[in-house]
Amino acid sequence: MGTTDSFDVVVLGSGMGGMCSAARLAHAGFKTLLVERLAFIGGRSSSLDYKGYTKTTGAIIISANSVIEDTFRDVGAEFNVRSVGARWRVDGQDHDWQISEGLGRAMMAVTKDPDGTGRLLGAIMNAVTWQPPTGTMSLRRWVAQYTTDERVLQTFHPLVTALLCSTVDEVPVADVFAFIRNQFERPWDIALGPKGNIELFRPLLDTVKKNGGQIRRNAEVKRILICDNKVTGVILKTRSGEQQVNAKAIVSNLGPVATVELAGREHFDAAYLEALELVQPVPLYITLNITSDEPLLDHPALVFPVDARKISAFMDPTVSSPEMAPPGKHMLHVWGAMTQPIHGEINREHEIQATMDELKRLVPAVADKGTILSIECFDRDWPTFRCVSSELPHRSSVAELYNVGDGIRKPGYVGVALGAETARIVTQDIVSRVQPG
Amino acid sequence: MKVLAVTEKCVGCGYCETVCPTSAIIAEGTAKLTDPQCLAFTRPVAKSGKPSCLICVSFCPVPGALEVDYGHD
Repeated sequence: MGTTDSFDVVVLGSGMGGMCSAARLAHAGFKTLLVERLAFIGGRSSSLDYKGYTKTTGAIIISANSVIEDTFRDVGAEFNVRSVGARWRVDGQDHDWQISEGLGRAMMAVTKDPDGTGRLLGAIMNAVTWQPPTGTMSLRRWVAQYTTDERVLQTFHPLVTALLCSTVDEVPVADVFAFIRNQFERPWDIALGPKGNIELFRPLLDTVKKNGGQIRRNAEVKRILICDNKVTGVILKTRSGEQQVNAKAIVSNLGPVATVELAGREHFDAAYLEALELVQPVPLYITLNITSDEPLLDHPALVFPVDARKISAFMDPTVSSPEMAPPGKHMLHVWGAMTQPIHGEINREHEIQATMDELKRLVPAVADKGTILSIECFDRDWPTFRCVSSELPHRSSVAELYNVGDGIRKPGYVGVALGAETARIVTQDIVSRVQPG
Repeated sequence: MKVLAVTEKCVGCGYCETVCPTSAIIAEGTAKLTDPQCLAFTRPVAKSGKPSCLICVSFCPVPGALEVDYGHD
C-alpha cells in the first residue's frame, strides 16, 4: 500500500451524477475528491473529438429550465447551452412540439379511431391535472381501455423509448405520467452544449478545484472500506500504485450493483440486496452519426418520429452548433431503441440494419448524401440507463454510503436529469449529516 | 507477441477508435483490431516489455473488453 490521504467526501465516477455531486459538495465547503477510472471525465455525459467532429459519449440533450441548470446556478457556474426545441414527425412532416403540451395533436393526426382517441385524451388530461395512474399497469394496457388503435399507442413510442428507455409494452403508465407531470409543471427547454458536453461541464469541474477539491483520472476504485456498518474510505489504484483515501462519506456514481460489489455484499442488509436484484439495465440502444456536406435537416430541433418502429429520435446538432463539425460539414445524430420486450440474445447486426433502414425511410437524403461516421451500441456494462425501473433509494444500507445517477429511483426523472437530481438530494443529505473539515 | 485483443465483452461504443492515434481499431457495432498499424504491436517499449500506447484501453469503459496479453504466440 502506498500513501494515505483524507477527504471529507470521495465521489466515485465522473458521470453526470458524480460531476454534479462533486461540484455541489465542494461548493458547500466539503473537501472533495472526484475519481474517474477512465482517461476522460464525464462518463456517458462526456464528448470526444473524432475525425474533427464532436461526438457525445452518450447524452446529447442537456435541457435548460431543469435541475441540471439549477446545479450550475447553485454553485455559481456558467451554464452555456443552446436551445434547439423539439418537433414530432409523421408522414414526413415535422410539427413544433413542447413536451409539456402532450401528444394530442399527434394522436389526432394519425388515428383511425377518433372517438376512442378523444376518450384517451380526456383520460390523459385527468391524469395530468388530477390523479395520475398508480401501480404497475403497462402503458399499452392502460391505453387499450380507451382505444386499440396501434398508431395512437405508437405516438408514445419516441417519448417512452428516447426519454424513458423502455417500451410501450413494459413501461409502467405511472412512470410515464410522473415524467409528463414534471414537464407540465416545469417544461424543459430542449438544448445542447454547443461545443460538446465536456466543454459545457468544465465550469462544474472548475468549481470543484476552486473550492479546494481534486479530480483524478485513471484512478480505479479497488475497494470501498467499511467499518462497523459505516464507510471509512476507499482503496484507489492509480498509475503510481495503490493508495488509501479516508473519507467521512462516499458518493458512488458507479451504479448500485458495482457499488455493492466494491464494498462487499456481506456488509449490506438483505432487503437492500433483494431490491438490487431487480435492477435491470436498459437493453441495447444504438446511436448513429451520419455526416454530410449539407444539412440533412433544415432545422436544429430534436425530432421525435411518432410513426417510427425503431428510431426514437434524431437531430442535427451542427445546424445550431456548427462548432461540432469541420467547416462546411454536418452531422446527423440518430437514436435507435429496442421497441419490444427482449427475450434472449439480441442480434446487434440485425438491430443496426433495422435502424439504418428506418433512417433512410424517415430521412431519405441519408441514402444519397450521408456517410456513416460511427455506429455505437450501448448495452451491458455501458448501457444507456443503468436501470429501466429501480426501487433503490439514494442511501445504501451502509451508513454514509450514497448512490447517485441513473440506477436510483426518482419518479419523473430520467437520464442526465436523474443524475443531477440525485446529486442534489444526496448533497442535501450529506450537508445535514456530515461536518466538513 | 500478441498484446491486445478485443473480447466478447466489447459493447462497440467506439471510444477506442475515437482515440487511437493510428486508426488501428474500427468500431462499427463491435470493435475490430487491425493489427499491423497498432503502436502497441509495432513499437513496444523494449526495456519494460510493455506496449507503448494502449490509449484505447484507458478510454475503454468496459473492464475486460480490451485485454492486454503479454504472452507469446
